[in-house]
Amino acid sequence: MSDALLPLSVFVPLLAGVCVFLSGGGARSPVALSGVLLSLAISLLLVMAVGSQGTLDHALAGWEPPLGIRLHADGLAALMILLTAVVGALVSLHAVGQFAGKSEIANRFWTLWLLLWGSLNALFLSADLFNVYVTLELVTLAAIPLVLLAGSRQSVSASLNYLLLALFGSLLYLGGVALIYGMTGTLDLQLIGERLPAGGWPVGVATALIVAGLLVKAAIVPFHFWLPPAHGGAPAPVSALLSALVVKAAVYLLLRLWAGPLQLPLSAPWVAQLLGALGAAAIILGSIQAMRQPRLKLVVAYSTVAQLGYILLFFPLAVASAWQGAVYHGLAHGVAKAALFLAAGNMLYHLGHDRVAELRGMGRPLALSLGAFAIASVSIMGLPPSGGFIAKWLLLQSALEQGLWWIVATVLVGGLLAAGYVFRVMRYAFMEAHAGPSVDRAPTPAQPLMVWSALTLAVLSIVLGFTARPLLTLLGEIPLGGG
Amino acid sequence: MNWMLLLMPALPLLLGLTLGLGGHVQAKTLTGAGLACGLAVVIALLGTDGLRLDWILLGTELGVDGLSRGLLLLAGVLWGAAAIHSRTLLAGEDGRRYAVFFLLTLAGNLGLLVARDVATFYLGFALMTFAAYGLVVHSGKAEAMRAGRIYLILAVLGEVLLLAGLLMLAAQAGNTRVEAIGEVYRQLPHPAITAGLVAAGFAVKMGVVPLHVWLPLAHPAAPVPASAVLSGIILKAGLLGWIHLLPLGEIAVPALGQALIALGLFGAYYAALVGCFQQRPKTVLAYSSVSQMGLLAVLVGTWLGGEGDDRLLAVAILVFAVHHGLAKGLLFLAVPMIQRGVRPVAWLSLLPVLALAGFPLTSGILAKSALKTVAPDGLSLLLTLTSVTTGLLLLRFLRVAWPESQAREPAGRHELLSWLLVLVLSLMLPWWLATGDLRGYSLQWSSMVDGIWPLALAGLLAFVASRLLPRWPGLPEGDLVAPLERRLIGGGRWMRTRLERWRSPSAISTQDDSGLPAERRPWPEPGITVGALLLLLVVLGLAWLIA
Amino acid sequence: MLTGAGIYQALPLWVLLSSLLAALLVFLAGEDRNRLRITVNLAAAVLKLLLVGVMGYGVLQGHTFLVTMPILPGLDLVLHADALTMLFTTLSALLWLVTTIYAIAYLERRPNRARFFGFFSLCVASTMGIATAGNLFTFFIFYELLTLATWPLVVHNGWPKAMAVGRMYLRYTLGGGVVLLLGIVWLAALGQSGDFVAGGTLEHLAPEHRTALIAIFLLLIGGLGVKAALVPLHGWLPSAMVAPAPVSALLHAVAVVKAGAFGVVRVVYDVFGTSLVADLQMNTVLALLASFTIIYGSVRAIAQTDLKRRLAYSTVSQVSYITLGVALGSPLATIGGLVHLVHQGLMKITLFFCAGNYAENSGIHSIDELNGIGRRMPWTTAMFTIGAFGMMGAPPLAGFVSKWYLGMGALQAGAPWVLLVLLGSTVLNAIYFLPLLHRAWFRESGEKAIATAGEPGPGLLVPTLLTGISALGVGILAGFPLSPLSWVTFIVGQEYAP
Repeated sequence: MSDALLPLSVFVPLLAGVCVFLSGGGARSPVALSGVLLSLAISLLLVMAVGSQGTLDHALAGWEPPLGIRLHADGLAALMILLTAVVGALVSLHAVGQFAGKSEIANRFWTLWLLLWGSLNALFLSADLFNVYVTLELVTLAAIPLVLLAGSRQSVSASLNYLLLALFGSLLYLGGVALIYGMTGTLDLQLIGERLPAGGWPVGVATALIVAGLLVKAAIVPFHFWLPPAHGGAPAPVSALLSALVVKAAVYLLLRLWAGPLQLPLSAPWVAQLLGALGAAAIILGSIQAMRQPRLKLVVAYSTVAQLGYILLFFPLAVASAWQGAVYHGLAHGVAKAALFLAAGNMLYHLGHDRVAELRGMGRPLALSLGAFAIASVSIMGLPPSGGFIAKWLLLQSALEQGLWWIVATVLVGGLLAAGYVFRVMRYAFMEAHAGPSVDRAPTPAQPLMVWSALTLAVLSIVLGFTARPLLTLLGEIPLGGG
Repeated sequence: MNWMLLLMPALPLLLGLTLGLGGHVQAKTLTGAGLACGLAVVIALLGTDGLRLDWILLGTELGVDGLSRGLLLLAGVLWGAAAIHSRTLLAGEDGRRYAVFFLLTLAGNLGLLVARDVATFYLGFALMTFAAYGLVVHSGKAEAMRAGRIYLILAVLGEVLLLAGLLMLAAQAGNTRVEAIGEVYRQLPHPAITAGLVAAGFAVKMGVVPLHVWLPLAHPAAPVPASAVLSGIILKAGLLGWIHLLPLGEIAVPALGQALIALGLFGAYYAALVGCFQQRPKTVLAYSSVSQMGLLAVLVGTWLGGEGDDRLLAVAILVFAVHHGLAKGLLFLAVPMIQRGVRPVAWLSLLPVLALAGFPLTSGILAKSALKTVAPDGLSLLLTLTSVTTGLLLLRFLRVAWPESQAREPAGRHELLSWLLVLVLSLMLPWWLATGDLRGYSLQWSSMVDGIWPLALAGLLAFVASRLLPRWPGLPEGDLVAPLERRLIGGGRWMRTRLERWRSPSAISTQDDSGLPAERRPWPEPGITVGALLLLLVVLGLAWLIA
Repeated sequence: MLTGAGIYQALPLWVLLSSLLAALLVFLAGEDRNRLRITVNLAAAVLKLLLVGVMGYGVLQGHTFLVTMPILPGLDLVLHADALTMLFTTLSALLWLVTTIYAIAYLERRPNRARFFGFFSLCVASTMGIATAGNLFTFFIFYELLTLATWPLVVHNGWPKAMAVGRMYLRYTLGGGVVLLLGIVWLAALGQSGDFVAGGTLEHLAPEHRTALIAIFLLLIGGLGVKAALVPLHGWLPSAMVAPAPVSALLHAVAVVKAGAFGVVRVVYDVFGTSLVADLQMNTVLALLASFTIIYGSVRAIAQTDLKRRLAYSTVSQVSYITLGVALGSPLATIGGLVHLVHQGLMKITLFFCAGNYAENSGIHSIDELNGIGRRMPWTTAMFTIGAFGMMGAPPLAGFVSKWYLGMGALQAGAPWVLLVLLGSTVLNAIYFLPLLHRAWFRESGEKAIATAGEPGPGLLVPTLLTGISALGVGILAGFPLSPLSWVTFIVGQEYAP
């Protein structure tokens, strides 16, 4: 029975999105919220089912591959679905406050967001390369109009950039998929793994194309330039969703492919080293850029660029603890980054601007949002006790076990650089100020819902520091040896 | 009975600590000091069992033996007299502060006299030393401040040397009891080093040349009663330290003993001669103290060298110490009255002067005889000749102290009372403490002669010298310290320019309020700083040598 | 689950939570609910003291408190209470109460009190965590939390200077944290959990991983040395005195430098074990480092004209006594080092309270403004005198007892040169403290002294008196069965028992 949860977790959000779109006037908000609740409940049920039964499989409409569409839920997918559900639910609460009184925007937001949710779940559960492609496109296509919700000219150009890059990435990916289909005659992840030749240039080219496509979508250095304007320009709940979930989807696929059909090509030393090096570069460059940003949301956005790099450090390490560390970093970063964006959004909402240098004295009026920002930052900096710390610990330990000192150094320096940009913001809260922070318009205090959702996410990022054991049990063993 | 051992030092201590609260300064101080001194005398006369207090400090043990009973008697008398003498000071400006330091010094002094373990002895010694600083600088004049500074530098030096020695003892056997000290020394791999450190530590207090320089500065600067106790009993704390904490009569440390004898003899002459060229009576008296302590150092050195008879030496030291304490205390108490022209006091003061000079029938002849009975054979003449220099020094004292005219104002009641009290006791106590043999020996004809001819010689010399030198030359007070101080201050300026940039390397200066550019901000206490750096160099050098 | 025995067993957790929850409540109560905040603060401080008392009794009875929470496979969050824990928790709990009272009075009518007291409690919670940590991992969690909790206190005034110092503080402490983390993870990579077990757990690794162990030791000490202010990692400490006086007191006496020193103790005794440290010849390195710090800090203190800055350099010097005692490794030296953990805390907190009183009451910041203040503020100055003499190691004060045991221990450990360091430090201490006392008691009253009406209010004075008298009391009553000295002797007896 419980394998029915797989299609449900995909279709419930999608249907809810459609319902919101169709429903009129005052009914939208309740419809949207019940959609969110329902999706949340199903996601949680799914996660619990995976937890109790191990992996779940479901062939859509009873058609088995290679003809039909297979949905597959293992520990990795379950964790991502859990992350999406928890972050999504809390961001939804925030959105209720953020878009209160702006029904037109709210309408679009709820529709798009629920579609996005469904697509994300579909992506996590997809078990064949083409479905992955389709869901990846769906995610992108739902995400880009969300960026546009901000309605400003910058956001239009940002989303255009985003669109172009995403399409470019999709094309690369599709090329790789085509090559693989040519070689193996199947798209099912498991079957590919069995049929893919062990070497040869076509495999290499296909891998390169797929990886490049995903790197573009995941905004890994040097393809990161589209991310900060898009994430920084969008409304706060959207930024939170994009940074916490959408870019994760692409990185998730990298891990998924490593764990599945492409383990052999991706484990080639120079490939692994290259991916690791890109990750290290992302950590360093992203953090340095974050330190130099004049606007708070851009700081947070560049922080995303940096943090995604940690997950790529998995490839050169490729042992169990690194696997756990990389996945756990994904979770921890998702929660913490959502909190950061929501908190930053609250400040923007309150003051009408988010220029870092003019935030002096924000401690009083924005105490709770600032608190959320501070708490979530602990995880971002990888300091204990937090999910980020656990992830960092695992990565460090596996790096030390293998004597990969450059990774050790990168992780440690990355933490310090993160402290650099976090405290650059925090210090403004503590500076002596005779008046409050400067404002662009009459201050509009953020609603309690907005504040508390941010705070809850922040606290969750700390709680993740104590829940590593059950979550990593759910994740299960590192899948070695293909399939 | 033995609870008195704790009560005696605790009373002035608590009183001193709580005097800040308020209350009548004079009444409280006099009562407290009087009671403590009374207890001291009672304990000294009656003796008592020891007292163990495991909870206090590192396991405190209090008690008395023959020698400390004698010194306790001296302390009771002198401190009592000083307290009475202090009445006017207590009423004056900063009287409360004076009272606090007076009581604390008293507490420390009494405490160390009854301490029977190393840590407690050190406690009393340190308390006395640091609290006495408050007495030295009491007047607040620049002179007193300088004296205080030099006192403190040497005191800290002494404490540190002492602590080093004590730690070596303690490392062997924990907080050692005084009785067991010889045993501990026997176990030490290098007893001479430890003994040397202990000896040097107390030598500062004893004013052994060249560590004596604080004495001639501190005595004139301190108020009169403070000078009296300083010379009369506080110096003797160093003596007690030597006796308690050196392995006297247990193991011989000949090198150290000879060093003490040599330094003591040298000091006895040197201080007396330097004192002859001083201008102020209290300075002259201070030099006399240095000179006399030199003689005590000779005795202790003899004992430490393993020569002489233990019992005779103990008696000699006790008699000498009590004799000197009383006589010197008397003279200090008398100085202001003599200077104001109170003739009877001036004439009566000849008694302690003669005593110090070792004139027959005074306590001095007793002390001198005691010295001779135990001194090493070769030194007999040298020791006798110190009487000549002592005589010269005392003549110098009379010369600078003697009133030019009749009394302008009568002596104060309390001043006179306290003085007379000590005077009476000074005539009796040393004789009472001496053994029958010693008394007999002192009254022999040959001893009498030995008491007189050096004085006659001194008188002759003084007469000749005053004829030959139309203007009597002067030496700076504290002799060695003056040029040294100049060097240090000069060096301090030089060092300051070197170190200025090093001082505040961090970009965040916290001292911007003065408005002065960094290079012109005052460097605190240049002399001290340079001293510190030199000391540091020495310490590091030694560390390097040992390690 | 929650049986009575379970609750009792989890005492370290309650101790930790008592201030953690206080922090939470204070944050949530907000700025304006003054009375509630004060009540919460004091109630939590008293409650903690009681809990610590119960725990101490239990430890004395031979009970071992242990709370374990698995985090990762082979990696547990462990809170426990052994005798060493009790030494630190008791000190912190007592001084926290006193400092809270002082801080309430000090910050009266100043802005941002909710923030201040929130982080203040958080800071103490971290300290409790450090004290009760049962392995290096747990220790590290609270060590970093302490950094985060103290930064807001250091920059509390918000002046540009404070912000600059805050940045410097972070650079040092976060940098130190990274180094420490590296050491701990490296140890974990060698398969060692870093549990705190008397005598250490790493001896069996020595033949195979000698170099790695040396590197790990140096990393750990390097990371801890930042907070313990070992030269050359001490730079933040003198600058951090721009913080308000209660914070300085906390930094110097209770929390931060102590956390570092305590960590050194744990690493040497309970992770590596003295024999292994000696085998790796790290004890000499550590002793030399500590000795140099002792002398260097004192020499620098002489040159300071700002009162708090001078005290800060004095801390640099004094805290290294603890490290020195630990490094020497002989039982007596260990007693000296550990007991100094408590003694230095009492003396230094007194000194900083006094400095705070001078600044608050008379506007005295610099040394030459102290002239004659003893006449106007005799009690504060008397306590300052006690603290200063204690630092010099004069009997019967707390510092004497420490120095006494350190000196004996140095000889026992066969390192007589350490005696010279101790004595040199005594002299240097005298050089930078005695002139202050001289000024305060004996100089003509200066401007600031004349303008001073009298002692500060009871909120400031009473804590000062309490700590000052304690600094005297633990020295005078060192032989008392419950004195820090006796307690430390008990600990060391356990350490060297087998």
